[in-house]
Amino acid sequence: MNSETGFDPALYDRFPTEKQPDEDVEELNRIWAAPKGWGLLTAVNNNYIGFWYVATSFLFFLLAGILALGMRVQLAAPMQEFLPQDTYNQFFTMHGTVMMFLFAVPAVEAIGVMLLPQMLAARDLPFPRLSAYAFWAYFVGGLAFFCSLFVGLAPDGGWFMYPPLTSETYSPGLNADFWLLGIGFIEISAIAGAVEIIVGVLRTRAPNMTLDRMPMFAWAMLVFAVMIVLAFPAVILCTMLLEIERAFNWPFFDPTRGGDPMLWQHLFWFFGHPEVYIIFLPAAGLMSVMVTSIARTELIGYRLNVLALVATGFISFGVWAHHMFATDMPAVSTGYFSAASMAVSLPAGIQVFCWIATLASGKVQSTTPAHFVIGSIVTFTMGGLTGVMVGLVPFDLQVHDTYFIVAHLHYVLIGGMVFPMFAAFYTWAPMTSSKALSDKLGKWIFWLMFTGMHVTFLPMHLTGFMGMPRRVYTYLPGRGFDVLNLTSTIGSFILGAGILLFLFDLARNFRFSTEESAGNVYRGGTLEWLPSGLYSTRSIPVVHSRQPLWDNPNICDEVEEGRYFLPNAPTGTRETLITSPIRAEPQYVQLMPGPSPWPLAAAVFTAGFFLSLTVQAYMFGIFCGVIAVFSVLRWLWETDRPLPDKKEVDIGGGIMVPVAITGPKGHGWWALNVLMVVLGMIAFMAVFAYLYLYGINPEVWIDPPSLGETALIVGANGVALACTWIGRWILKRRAGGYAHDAPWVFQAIAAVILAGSLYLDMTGWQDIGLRPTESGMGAIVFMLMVLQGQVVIISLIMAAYLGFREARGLLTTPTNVTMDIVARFIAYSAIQGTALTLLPRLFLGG
Amino acid sequence: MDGPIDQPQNWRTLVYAFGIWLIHFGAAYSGELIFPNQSAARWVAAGATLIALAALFWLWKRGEDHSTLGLLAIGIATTGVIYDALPPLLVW
Repeated sequence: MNSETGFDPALYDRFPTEKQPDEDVEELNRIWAAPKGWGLLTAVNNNYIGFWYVATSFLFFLLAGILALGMRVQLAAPMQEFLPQDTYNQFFTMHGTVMMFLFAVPAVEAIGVMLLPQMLAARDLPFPRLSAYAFWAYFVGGLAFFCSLFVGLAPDGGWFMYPPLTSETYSPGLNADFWLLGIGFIEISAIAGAVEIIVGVLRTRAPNMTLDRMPMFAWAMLVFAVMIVLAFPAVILCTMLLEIERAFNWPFFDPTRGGDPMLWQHLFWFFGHPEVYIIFLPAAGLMSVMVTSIARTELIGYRLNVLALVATGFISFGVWAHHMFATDMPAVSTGYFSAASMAVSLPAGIQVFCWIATLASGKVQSTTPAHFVIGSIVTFTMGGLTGVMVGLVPFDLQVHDTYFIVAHLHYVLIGGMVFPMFAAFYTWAPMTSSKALSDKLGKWIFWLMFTGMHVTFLPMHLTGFMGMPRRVYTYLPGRGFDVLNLTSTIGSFILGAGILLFLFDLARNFRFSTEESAGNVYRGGTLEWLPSGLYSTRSIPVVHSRQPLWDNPNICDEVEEGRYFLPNAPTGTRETLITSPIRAEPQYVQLMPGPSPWPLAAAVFTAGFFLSLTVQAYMFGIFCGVIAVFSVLRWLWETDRPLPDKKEVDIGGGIMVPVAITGPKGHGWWALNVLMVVLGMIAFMAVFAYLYLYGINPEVWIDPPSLGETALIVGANGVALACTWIGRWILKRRAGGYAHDAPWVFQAIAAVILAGSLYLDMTGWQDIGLRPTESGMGAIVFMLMVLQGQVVIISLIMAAYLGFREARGLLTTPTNVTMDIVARFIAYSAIQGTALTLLPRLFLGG
Repeated sequence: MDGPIDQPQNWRTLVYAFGIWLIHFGAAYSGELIFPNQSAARWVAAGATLIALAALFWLWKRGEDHSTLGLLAIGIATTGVIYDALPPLLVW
């Protein structure tokens, strides 16, 4: 067998080793102990962060559900006044926004943070403080956003906030701003989680858990996280554009000045439709794992499922404009998106057939998870079929913006995500609770929810066919809508009763514990069911199959006796094993940071920054921003510690690996790459916006500044790029000695040159009379500079940070993780600056 | 034993096949954005389709020991490309 890293697979034969001393477990317990009392808020361990994350997302599910019940009461009969019109607008906007942004995506990400380390047998995810930051940012930002409802400032323009309705002219006040800044902020949290998940899945798997043996949930989370990284930048960009238009009058979406409201729809749905799959895929991964344990057999078509996940990931980026069929798109364009919408049903169908085949070939246990899983397959398939219907342009034109669409999306989302999530609650609650949830009550809950769901949404297909539009707070009697709406309202309360019963089950049985668990109630075969503590498993097993617990009945005892990898803490601190991305061969031991208040502080002040901007308290916003940056730097300060005396440690079986490394083998290198993809995607979407506006309104375009000036800016960026390389080269040359100032000074010079070239770029455009408030061209050209300005500011901060570290003797030679990251980020900034400078200067005026 | 997914040529085939689909989709749609309702857009789409099909054919030919996974990926991507080639042919 080939090796990916030079590791000899024959070394796996040394395991299981002899039983290891019990004192090592006490040492692990001491090292991984959680803080007590209020100090628990500084915990970063996935057992706590994951649980809080799941609980918070479920809280938002309940809150959004209550809003839905309010809307259903309002619509139970014609001409009701239960909710005033304005309040109803806020309710449906908040219901959609909270369900999509504060429940669905965070919930699956939360389950990932909680389950993945155990499922992969890692000690924790690779950046626990990033997980903590992602959670606290979401928690604080989400609650602040939701509370806008209580002061009448909740957004009311629909969950997709189309301009011109949401422009300053038609939506004065702060309501739309709360949505724009709140959602932008929460997306940052989602991206932080995605970085963690990508690196975690690819680099912290148990040895020999090759890609072909990875649990389907891990595959799904990998595709999910990659999709977040590619899709969410679009919504970050479009929320920035609209907020800047509202606050500073830059006309991105104003057609009277060369903007175009359709640009918003393109950018929003470029995120919005992949978002549906972003929600569905992790749930599908959970389904694949649960189907296996329900049917007590291997998943049929494991590799087909992987293929389907990857295919869905790709094709979902070609369907965004099927939400825009009713706009004035060219017919051929609608055809492309219609064709892609048909094509995406192929991989979805593959997954459904794999589940059905697995259930049919095994012996299905009549358990609560089984009920929810089968209910999910039925409901999701129905939603998928209506999805194919609305993928056809003529049909979509008939039902667009009617209740048919409401029915379709609820069938897809409840069938594809909510039912699997409840199945997951019952399946994995015993892992985090000392007592399992009631299987008997669970079946009642399922039937109430299943019945309620269909009674609510099945009639909506008819209501839509009959022409009732979405987002209206009432309707006239005698149109044939009365009985259907009343039926839907009754159904929604049945659904609500199911969820209320679930809360009762939780209150009666769920007891969160990190010390004892109810055990493997549904007899799963994956690694999360190994005996574990806050350090995850006592030792990290060698994986030989996809269901290790089924194939090796002794594995639990062997792991608990420390007979596999890392049976102790060789460096005496928190650590995990980093493995290679494809074959999961052991590469090195990563030192992990422990509890810290700084991620919490960073999240609170980041939220403060965004909220201050929302209410236009700019000075306080700057104050919060500075504290947030300081908190982030303070948390990072401890993470790149000088290495312990041991350069190599024994990870079990006499196998020696290095402690922490830099460069392409290091997990930090991977994380920075992912971050650069995020920034690159924001820039790419801005380039799309530029080209789109140029194509729509070329008459407002003027000729660019002179070529000489352009060459000067590009040359300066090239010098900055060279400086980053020289700094690293000098550091390497000083191996074994002190770093001195030159390495960081070269990075600082690079960052200052970038700031200078940005200034040149800006003044160049100003000198030829371009103003951001006067035309769509001005707005988008200056927006490209705003984006570049952001990375330049970060580059300057990073260079200064590197200088501080050098002053404290923390810039180790010949390589250093912080140096590596700073230099590569500044290099990225130089490349982005060159691209964003060149693009608008290549297009002549219209 | 390595599974098919652990073989670099298989996951590369997977990613390349769907990548070709995505690039074809992007090219055809960009053509329509730049030349809305004009015959030039149809020529762009036709050219992109021929190149995409050629690339998929090359992907199929280059690997002599394709797993079912790779073949299916090429199959689905080809179906997607052909689907996307239909609108400029059928919508006039």
